[in-house]
Amino acid sequence: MLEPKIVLFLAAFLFSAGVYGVLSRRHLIMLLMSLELMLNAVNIVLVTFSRVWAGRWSGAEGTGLIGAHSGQFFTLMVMAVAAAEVGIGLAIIVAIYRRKHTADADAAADLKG
Amino acid sequence: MTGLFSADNKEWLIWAVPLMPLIGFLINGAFGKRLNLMGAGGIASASVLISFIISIILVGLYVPDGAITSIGYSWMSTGGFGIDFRLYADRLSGLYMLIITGIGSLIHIYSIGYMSHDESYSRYFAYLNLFVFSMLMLVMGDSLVTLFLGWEGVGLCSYLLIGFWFKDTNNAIAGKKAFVANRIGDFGFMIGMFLIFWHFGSLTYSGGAGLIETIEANPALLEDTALLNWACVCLFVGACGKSAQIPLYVWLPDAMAGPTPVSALIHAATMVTAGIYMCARMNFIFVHAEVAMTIITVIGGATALFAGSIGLVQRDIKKVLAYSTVSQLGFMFMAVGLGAFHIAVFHVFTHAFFKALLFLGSGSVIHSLEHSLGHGNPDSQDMWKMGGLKEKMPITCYTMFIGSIALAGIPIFAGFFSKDAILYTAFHRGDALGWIIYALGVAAAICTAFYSARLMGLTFFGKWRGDEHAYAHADESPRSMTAPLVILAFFAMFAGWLLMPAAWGHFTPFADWLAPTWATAQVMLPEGSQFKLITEHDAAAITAEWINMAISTVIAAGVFGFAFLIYKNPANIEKVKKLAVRGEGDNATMTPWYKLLLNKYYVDEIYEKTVIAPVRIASDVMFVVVDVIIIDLLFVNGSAMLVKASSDLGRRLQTGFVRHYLYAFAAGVVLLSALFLIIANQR
Repeated sequence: MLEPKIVLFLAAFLFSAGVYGVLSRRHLIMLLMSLELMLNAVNIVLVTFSRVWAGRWSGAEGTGLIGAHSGQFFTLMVMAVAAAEVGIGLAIIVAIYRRKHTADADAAADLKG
Repeated sequence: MTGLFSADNKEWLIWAVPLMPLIGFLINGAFGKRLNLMGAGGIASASVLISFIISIILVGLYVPDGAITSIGYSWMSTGGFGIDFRLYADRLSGLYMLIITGIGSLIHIYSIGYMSHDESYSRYFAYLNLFVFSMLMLVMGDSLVTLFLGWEGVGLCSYLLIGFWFKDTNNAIAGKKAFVANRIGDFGFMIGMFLIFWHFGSLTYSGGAGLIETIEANPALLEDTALLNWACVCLFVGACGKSAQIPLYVWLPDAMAGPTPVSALIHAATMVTAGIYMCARMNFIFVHAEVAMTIITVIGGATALFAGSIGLVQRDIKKVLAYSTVSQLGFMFMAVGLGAFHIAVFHVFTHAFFKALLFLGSGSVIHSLEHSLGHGNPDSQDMWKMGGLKEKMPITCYTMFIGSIALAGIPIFAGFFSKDAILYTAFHRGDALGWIIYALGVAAAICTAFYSARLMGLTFFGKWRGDEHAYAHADESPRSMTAPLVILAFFAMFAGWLLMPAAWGHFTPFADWLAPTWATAQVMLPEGSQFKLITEHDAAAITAEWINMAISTVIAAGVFGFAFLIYKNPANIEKVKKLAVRGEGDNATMTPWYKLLLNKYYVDEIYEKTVIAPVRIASDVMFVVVDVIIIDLLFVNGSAMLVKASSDLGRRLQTGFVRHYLYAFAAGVVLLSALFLIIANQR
């Protein structure tokens, strides 16, 4: 079995890449992609721990299907939410593009106080 | 049942006395616009007249058997302090009730004629009825608190009536002046009330836990003379305001801006004597405040002379009478301060008749002249532009003549007996204070005799000096105005006979009537007290009395005759003028003493400089510093600016750039994670 540590490092790397992307990129599509990276990093963590903990659970609360695989179910949930998010996000990006003729995040600064 | 619905006659009658004028006020106040002159005046007069008749019944039948009290309701009750709204009629307030409603009804009837050309007659009669109601509350309340209610009520009515013709700003200013001067007095009065309550625990005169009962149960309370002196001085400050004594007298001469019957009722006969009523009512406390009594008598004497001397040179007929009133009130306080409360009240009683008579007479003259000169024309009150009116207005002339010799103190007329009794009290006292007061009193009496003769001579005798057209149209006033004059003249002649000097035989029904009022004070007076409550003439000192009487008579008759001879003859007036004015035509200059008197010792100017100007400057400073800077700028605009400044700082955070929000978000996450890590490590 793959060492969980290695998988978690991968997740951390992905998450950091996502954070870096979100903070450094100005293009909205890139932002959205970096966001997806972060989400997927979380998904990897969930799956990893689901796998790690499933072997150790033998008590009453861990014997059920959900108890043993809840991390994996949660990942599916995140994917669904992420898909919805991308749908909305892309729609917003299209709307911004129509108004500003650019997909630069800094162009959409109308909420300046 | 108690109060108005009591089955006991005296209980509902006592409530009917003040209620009648109140009903008159409500009718005139609410429906006055729909009433004609006779309706409004008739309702007002009838209400006071009914009140008068009820007062006669009460005072004649019930009061001699003891004071009447009737509780209305519990007015306020807080902790140990409770005041019932209760009416109280004893001999002193009974006398005042008779004066107020009796002279009041005459003046109401007179007013129907006097106000016949004024369109706001219903407002006038409403105020006048409200005044009578308030004045009755003042004398019929059973405690200082109820007295204060009436005290403020009459002050309000006085203000409203002085400024009755408020379209002329000067009249409104005069009303304001009266109100402010009275407020200063009221402040002292309230402090006095607080001190008395603090010390005695009661403000009710008598009955239940009243002041008299408290004192009788615990005479030791009277030993704290310092507190009693302070309390009495404070109460006297209130009396100074209401009864126009130095230093607060300045409002009364200006109060002549009101209609003349108002001057007669409020500013001569009734309201201004409220201060004497209050002192006489609280006599059992005042007699123990020796210092306060000395202050009262000295201020009274000083006021009598001061105002009397100003009255010598006034040209306005009503101003002469106004200063005369201030002077006579000074005489009353002289008597109060000397402990002769009954003589003070006696002077209130006689003065009410002859001064009301003189005011109504001057009103009759003014009314007659205003027909041709026009309303509000100052010439209608200027005695230098009158003269010879005897031919035109004989009734007014002869009744006023009786009034002025009563005022001057010619024997057998009312003023003689009361003024002589006051002077005798000072004369007989025998110490330095007594002689000072006596000297002030005699000097004031000289002034009194002089200006009252001058007023008669200038107005009714000699030659007419004013507008010929006005003289041709001058005519005797209608009967509704002359009838009250005749009735008052009768009393101005005979009212004094109710208290004869001992030298004239022992006939003192007036003093006997009031005797129970001072009973407590006499019983409680401590042994060895310097102070003697003077309640009746000393029969043993008849010689001294004759001497005093001779001096008074010679002064009054001599000065009156002298002044009358001067002012009734135009040729003599010219001679007298040289005393006042030097030089001829444009070079004429006033002699200093004449100028001083004519300008009323510059008291108004001194007050303007020393009191009003600093107050005005302080107000301006307060306005700029407190109102504009602190409140407006600092508090109101300041709080708004504070919010705006902090918002300006806050809105910098809202750059609108998504990246910035993200940075903050990430930084927040890092911080929180770090925090959790630290906490977790410390476990």
